Amino acid sequence: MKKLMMALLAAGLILFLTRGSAEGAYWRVCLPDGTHLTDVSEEPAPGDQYIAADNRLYEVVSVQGDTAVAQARGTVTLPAVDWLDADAALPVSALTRRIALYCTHSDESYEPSDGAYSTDARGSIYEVAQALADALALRGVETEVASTLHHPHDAGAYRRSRQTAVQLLKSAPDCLLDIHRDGIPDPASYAVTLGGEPASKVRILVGRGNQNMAVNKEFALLVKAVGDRVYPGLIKDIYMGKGAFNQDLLPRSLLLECGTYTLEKERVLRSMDMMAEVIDRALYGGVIGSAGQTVSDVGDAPDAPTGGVTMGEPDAAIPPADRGVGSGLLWVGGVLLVGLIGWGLLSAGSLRGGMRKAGRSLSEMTGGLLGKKPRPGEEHDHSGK
Amino acid sequence: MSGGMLLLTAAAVMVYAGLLQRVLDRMHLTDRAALLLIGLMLLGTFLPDIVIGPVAVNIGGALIPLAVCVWLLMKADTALERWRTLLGCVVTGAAVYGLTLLLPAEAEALPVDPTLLCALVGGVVAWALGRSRRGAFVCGTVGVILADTVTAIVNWSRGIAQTLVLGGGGLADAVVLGGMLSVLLCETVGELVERLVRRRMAKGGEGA
Repeated sequence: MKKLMMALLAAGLILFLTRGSAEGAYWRVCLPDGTHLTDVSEEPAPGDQYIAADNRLYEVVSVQGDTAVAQARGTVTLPAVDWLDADAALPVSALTRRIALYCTHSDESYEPSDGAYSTDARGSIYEVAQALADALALRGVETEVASTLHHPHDAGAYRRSRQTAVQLLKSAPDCLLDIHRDGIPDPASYAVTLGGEPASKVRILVGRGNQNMAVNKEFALLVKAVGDRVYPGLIKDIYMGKGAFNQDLLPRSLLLECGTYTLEKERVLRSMDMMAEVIDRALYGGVIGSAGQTVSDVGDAPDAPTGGVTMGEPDAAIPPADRGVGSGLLWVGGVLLVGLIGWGLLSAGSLRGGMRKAGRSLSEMTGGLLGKKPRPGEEHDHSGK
Repeated sequence: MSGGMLLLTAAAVMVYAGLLQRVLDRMHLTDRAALLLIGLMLLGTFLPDIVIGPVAVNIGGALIPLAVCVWLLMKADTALERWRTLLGCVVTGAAVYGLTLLLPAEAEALPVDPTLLCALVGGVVAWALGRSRRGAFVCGTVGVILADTVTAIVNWSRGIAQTLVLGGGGLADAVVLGGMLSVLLCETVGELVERLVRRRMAKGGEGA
């Protein structure tokens, strides 16, 4: 018992001394020659991938202090979005279109507009989420914005917001969006002028540590492809970092960093109309309104969002939805296989014994459908001792 | 949701449910009873939460796992085992709460996902205290609930009107994950230690 307490105290002390990521803390991502690529407020880790605005792919290979060194890994080909210019429209009555939004970090605010970057009350990040939802609703998408708070902004925030995310899944949304604002201090990195108006860029974050990573990455690439086409400059980049961000709960879950805390909130709110159009068109091909109504029909309405180089052109087809599913299935199967064999090896001490144990475990997990059934006398212990 | 995405989700849910079944059938339960419990937890996930003032309790994510914990405590062989497990719950809750304060807030900076962290703590504490899978399940489950409760009390003391949601994620909540992974970790560590002990004893026997 004493040893346990000592170990816990020592672990706590080590963690306290090595803790990081206070507000305003950020990391520079650079090439080996020192060329600056971007800043991130999330501590980078080797293996993280970064797709820059120009679609160049970089992979973090090491982190030294507040600098991450990344290697160039070529250029990513974004999905073709020629369908944005197609003639026919898909009747919307064939689709149920629903998007759910929530804010894991309930405290996040914008310093120039709100006077503080963080608040114990409801952060203005909820206004941003609501603005995005309102703009989506204007385009005929059913939306649900969770008003639930997840204070404080600590390592348990994602655990608490997971509960909100699961509640949102009950209405079977097509897409789950976690709305954040970034924590990097330079407002210029997010400031952009779109359609002659000051606006904000949006960074897309994809979690690497879950079975939906490939699907979510494909979806992020599609959103970027549509964004680059319709509102060039709106999508800042894509960062694929360690962690799951609750994206394991639903394929097509994304974390959006809408501006940074040093940027005016009004800029960010202005971008949400454009972001709604990009997400809508990426997910549904941009069909809006009642059955058979197209973007061009609503484009004439007085309340319709304006701007975008292909605005007013009807859309043809829904983009392929199943990209990345194969990788996801391999991920699930691989984790199961490695886990079973690893545990079997550990408990049996040999490859043969391990495989036999893994087979028995698989049999018990699938009700005897797969794997080897236990021999008489080999039944496992139910006592839990 | 497309067919492929349904398939991916179904595969993940089946693997998760399979692991949970393997864990529950080590809790004095038969295979069939374990499956029934998972079905009830899944059903409870989609039922409305029980709301009592500022507290909301999910049936599948908190009420049923807590009921299993109470049953396990009642089935404990000795009073000492019962008290040891309860102490483990408090230590796990304190450790989970402390870690969420001490660790970096951003999930990317953590060595493991914050949801899995609770399970690791529960597993280690339960193994250290009693080397019992049943104890690990109770510690992992109740520890997360205690940590969430302390967080809510601190929030309320600061004037933040935030509902305490217990097990709101249902079957996918950290409460269930905590209990499940604690048992798996406890079992893995236990198997490893047992093997090392067996090997040492065998060597000792050869030497004698």
